[in-house]
Amino acid sequence: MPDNRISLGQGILKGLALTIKHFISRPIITVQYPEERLVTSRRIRGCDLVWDSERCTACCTCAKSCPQGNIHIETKVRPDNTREAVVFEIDHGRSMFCGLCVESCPFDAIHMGRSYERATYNRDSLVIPKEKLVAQGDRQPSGYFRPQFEETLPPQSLLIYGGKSSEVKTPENPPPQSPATAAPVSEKKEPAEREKVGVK
Amino acid sequence: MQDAGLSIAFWLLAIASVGSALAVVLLRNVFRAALLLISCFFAIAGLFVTLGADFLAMVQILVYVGAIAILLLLGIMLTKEAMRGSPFSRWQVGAGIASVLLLISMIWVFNQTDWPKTNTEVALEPTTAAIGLKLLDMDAGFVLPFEIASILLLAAVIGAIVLVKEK
Amino acid sequence: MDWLHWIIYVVIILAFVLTLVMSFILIERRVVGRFQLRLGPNRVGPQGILQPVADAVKILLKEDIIPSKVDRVVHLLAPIVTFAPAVLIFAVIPFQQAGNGLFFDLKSTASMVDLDVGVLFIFAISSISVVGLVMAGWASNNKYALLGAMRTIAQMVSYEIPMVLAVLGIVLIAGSLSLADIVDKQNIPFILLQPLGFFIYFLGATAEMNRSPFDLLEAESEIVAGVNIEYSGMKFAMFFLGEYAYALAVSTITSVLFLGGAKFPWGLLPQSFIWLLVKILLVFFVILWIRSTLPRVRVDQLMGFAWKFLLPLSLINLFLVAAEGMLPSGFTWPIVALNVTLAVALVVIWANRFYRVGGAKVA
Repeated sequence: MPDNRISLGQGILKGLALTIKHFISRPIITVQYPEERLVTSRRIRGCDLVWDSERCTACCTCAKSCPQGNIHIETKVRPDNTREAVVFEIDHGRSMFCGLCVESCPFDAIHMGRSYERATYNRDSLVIPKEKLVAQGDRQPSGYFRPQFEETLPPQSLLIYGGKSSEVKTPENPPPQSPATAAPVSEKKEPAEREKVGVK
Repeated sequence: MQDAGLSIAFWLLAIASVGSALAVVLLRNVFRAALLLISCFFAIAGLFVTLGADFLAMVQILVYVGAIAILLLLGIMLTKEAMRGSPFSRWQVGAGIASVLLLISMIWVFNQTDWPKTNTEVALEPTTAAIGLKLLDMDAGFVLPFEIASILLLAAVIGAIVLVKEK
Repeated sequence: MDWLHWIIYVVIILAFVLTLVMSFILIERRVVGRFQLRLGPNRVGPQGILQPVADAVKILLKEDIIPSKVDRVVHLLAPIVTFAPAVLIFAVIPFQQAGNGLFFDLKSTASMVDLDVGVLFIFAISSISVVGLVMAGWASNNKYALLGAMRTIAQMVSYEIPMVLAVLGIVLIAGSLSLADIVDKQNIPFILLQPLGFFIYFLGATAEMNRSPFDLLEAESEIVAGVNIEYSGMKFAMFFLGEYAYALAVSTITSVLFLGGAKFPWGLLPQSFIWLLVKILLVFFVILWIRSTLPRVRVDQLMGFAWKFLLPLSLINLFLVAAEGMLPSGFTWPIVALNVTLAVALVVIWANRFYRVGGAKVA
């Protein structure tokens, strides 16, 4: 029965004490973005696409499945009667990152990326040719529709899982690396996974 | 120099107050009229300052601008037909005659009265304490009117409460 | 020499108000950020100290929109009428007392004009800003602006009464309406002699300047932005600066009336404008503290709080001061103890009673 005691004033004082305690002693809990970053979800549908040139057979299924026709492929027949993509361009500026190309690829050659920074100074730089489309640096395939990658990726760090101190990545961009060596954990497992997929 | 400055201030404030008072009456936009009423109050406060009545000037702003004019504006905001001008325009002939008569009689009274002349040098002294003493002095002051006024105000407050009290 | 005095003080006051208002904006954002366990703006310049400059440049370059059906003259005048009184208040603020100071000595009080009716001047001038808000609310031709303006009127007219009555206690103790005299009389800060008066004044002033928890004027969840909804660019900046200039004015007036102005407590150190500055920042910090703690009150709670809680208490306070004025002088510390006890007891008793009779509930 709160009406039976002297109740007005206590609550306000309690609140004031709580806020001043936060002011004095609680650490900052927000992520200072350019310097600190959280690890994204392992299945993130990032805002780029990662292409694997070795696995691609230039079947153009991804280009056909793209609702917006963003993927531009020109192919050439090799002597051994296989095909090779001479031009493989994706217009990230028009992409809505629906992931249909990733889901439709029969050879697991195109993946969603994990990056979330897509700001550029002009639209032309959003059209990414095949040399830059492969996994390198922070362009890494995410676990979206690719469970073989998901197990190898670092777990997501969230503020609600208890602070940011341990999970936070360092601000420096990792130096450009080959896709297999980019994530230390994934380094060993990835070839094996690929073998399995290839067999299938 | 002092006198010249004072007369310039007086004439400016007089023109401002009379001008805005006229505009209050003549403007069709009620809200603007109320705003000009505020500027009229201001000009009158300025006139009090030129007369050395600092306390009165401040009370003029505090009470008339800060309270009465604001409540007037609130009244206008709550009035549905505020944008259509004065609804009492059919009385304009009678009102004109009445106000002209009032003006004539006031001018006559002002001319007839033997006003005590004040010296501006003396008048620039603080007046707050003097007003307080004059109002509340038992012998030579106005303590009875003061108390009657406060009882009147108390009655008004109680009356307001009774009017809005729920049954 | 007279003209020189005016010009110097106009420059000083403008510089004081504008720099402090700019820094108040930054301080508020940083401090409230800290209260909410985040950093606040820290990108522009070292520790974000250039953030107000960046904001000012941004807002100056914004398009100045005048909606088609507004009352143009009133619409344009409203921000000026709101902002100007906030600066005018500082004309009577004594920045340092006459006599020996910490860094330099002064022959007379360092204020633009030491009005004999300084306290009245402050309340008279600050009541003008309502007119500006009402003008903005009416002229904007917008229902939210009008609602905000009507809330402003109700709030300001109600809270002015307990606020002025609380300050009357100070005036009674000091025996003067001049701010320089009031500071001179404060051998101990008046907050100790007038704890209840300080409480009422501070809450009333918080409501007067529309700070949280009394910021119903621009309650975003209800009336979008209140009176300044149709304003953009520099005109909005005038409202924004005006709000902070009022916060500065209230902090300054509180420091001068209740905390001893430029004096160091008990005169342990020579007086200086630095102490005034420190006190201003301290009061502003408390305002921010309250802002980051309490949620916004409802309209009925707001009016009930003014009329049923603050007003009776301020009347009681006035009677107490008058009664204590009849005591012979020399009982400073017993009176301080008595007043603090009475203030706490009265607030608790009245708060409980206010709560019991349903003052905080919908009628």
